Amino acid sequence: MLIEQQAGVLGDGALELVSEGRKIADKLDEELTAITLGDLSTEQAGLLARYGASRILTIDHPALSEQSAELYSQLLSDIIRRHSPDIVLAIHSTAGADLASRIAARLNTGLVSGCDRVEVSPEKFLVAVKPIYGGKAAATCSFSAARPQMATLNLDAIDLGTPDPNATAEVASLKVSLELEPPQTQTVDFIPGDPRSMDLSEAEVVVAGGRGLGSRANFKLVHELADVLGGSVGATRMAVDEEWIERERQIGLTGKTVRPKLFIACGISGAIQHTMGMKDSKVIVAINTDRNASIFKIADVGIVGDVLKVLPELIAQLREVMQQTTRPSLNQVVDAVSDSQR
Amino acid sequence: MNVVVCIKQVADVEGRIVVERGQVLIQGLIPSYVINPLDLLAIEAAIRLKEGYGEGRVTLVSMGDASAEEALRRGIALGADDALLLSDPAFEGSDSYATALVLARTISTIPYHLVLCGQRADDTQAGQVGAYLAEILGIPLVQGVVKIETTPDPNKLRLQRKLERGARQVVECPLPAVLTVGAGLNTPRHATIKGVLKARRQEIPHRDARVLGISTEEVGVSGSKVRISHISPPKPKMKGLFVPDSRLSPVDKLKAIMGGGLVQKKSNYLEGDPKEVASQLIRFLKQQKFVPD
Repeated sequence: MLIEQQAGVLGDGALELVSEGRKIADKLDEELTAITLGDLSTEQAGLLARYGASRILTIDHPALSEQSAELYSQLLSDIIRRHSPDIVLAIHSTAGADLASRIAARLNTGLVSGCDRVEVSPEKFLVAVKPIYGGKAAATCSFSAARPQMATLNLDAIDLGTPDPNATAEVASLKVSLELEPPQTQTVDFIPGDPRSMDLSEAEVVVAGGRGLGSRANFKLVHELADVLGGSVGATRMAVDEEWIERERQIGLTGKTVRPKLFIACGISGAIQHTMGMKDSKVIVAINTDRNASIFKIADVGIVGDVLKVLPELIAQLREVMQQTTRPSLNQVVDAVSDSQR
Repeated sequence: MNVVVCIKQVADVEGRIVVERGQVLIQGLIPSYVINPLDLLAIEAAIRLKEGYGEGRVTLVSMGDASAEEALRRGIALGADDALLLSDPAFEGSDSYATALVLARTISTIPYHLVLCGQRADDTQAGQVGAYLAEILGIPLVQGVVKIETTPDPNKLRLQRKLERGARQVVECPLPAVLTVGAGLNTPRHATIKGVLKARRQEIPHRDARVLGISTEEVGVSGSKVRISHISPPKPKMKGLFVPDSRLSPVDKLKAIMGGGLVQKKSNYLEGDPKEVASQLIRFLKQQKFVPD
């Protein structure tokens, strides 16, 4: 398994991936090795072990500082070649999908990308199930004789397993001195996403406002809440028609479709024209005065109350919480970057 | 600048698609096939590059049966210069690898500076042809490109690739190279009447395995690394489906039903003093790790 990490912290879905890997390894009666580029803390390695990794391989190489998919894929391909595993799994993230496809090409092997499920056939081969045709069908895929059998898994399709509190893993740190081909492409800049201007479809947190806000002035509360949470602002068609916010922020059948990790609906009743554009959000919080508003039917948490009273309170308390922590929000990072460039 | 664009004709995934007896059926009065949407962006990018440099040719290549000629003609109507259809019964059942092999063998016969393709096809949702193609051609690869800029050096492009959370990576890439393009790269133009007329007249050469020097074992099912063994209807995701609002227009109602309806969740209600409600919500957000604890 290829485990993503940043500065020693496990990437999104690392533990879910290990849980899936464990199930496969159990069925095959094989070892499960988690490979990460760069060092992991004992605590993070312990987590991988409890969720099922029997071996953890942390890779150290001078090229790691370079943030180059070309170098990373060379490095990982070499390690995979040397360990010749039957199966290689990764998360279908932007980086995971890019790396996996490069590695599969380099190793001249097969990859099923964006899977919802992986299983083991009675003949002990990997079987991968993935959505096709925009999710209107599911394809069950099997592999030719080439090894390893590779698959990337959709983060939102897999779940955490039950951790074994006593499980430990053998942790090996591998210093690789492999001579790599110099990368042909060069990263010259990295532009952080600004939640205030990024396309809504890329936002991880969306705070959206509707009729309940009542006026353009009150709509500012939505912006403020989004700012504290490092989120992007969305709106219902009505709010856009009233010109409380630009049209490109409209969510719904005639606007954009979003599926952020967190969606906060402020003063939105939940007309289907709007909800069709946000129903796939992972966690939905709704604030509305009407207990029977249909938005509550799809919300994970519903706050029955006046959005104009709840929002200021929420913003004030969140600001306090955020100040206590050292980690700056994404919006603050963006501010700092643009300040330094001024 | 000579650009080769790999395109695929796909079923319009917004259309009526059902699974019956292990087969995907494209239904509707007129089954709707289109140029894969991301490939359309690739064609647009190629035409803009050619226009920017003021010289060169845009060549479209597509692997498929005779019906894929339609997609190639549409591409020519948009402004591409040439098109090649790679068609052979032996290609049937090819996976991303085998497809890339056929494309690579073809591209090697065309003078090119750049190869573009959509990051992923809407039908198979694989997104791997680009990587295999770059590996076989032995040239650099940049995936998920959403901005292409020329540089003073004619053999180098400056690209932006889409990362998560709205972030962008700016990459300088020497040519020749393979780029896979992502959503948001550009807004494709419409075909002109002149273009449509040209497309109708233009001859589209077909290339088969023999002409390309490909043995039948290298491609199709036998040359593939991955095989689809079974196709099934998607697992229903929703628990409860609302009847769509009767006030909706028929089109919106259909969209609502085909979009999978809504999942009814058992929500936890918070009520009462705003202060108390807010702090309870923050506790929930902390639990869910949206807010640092």
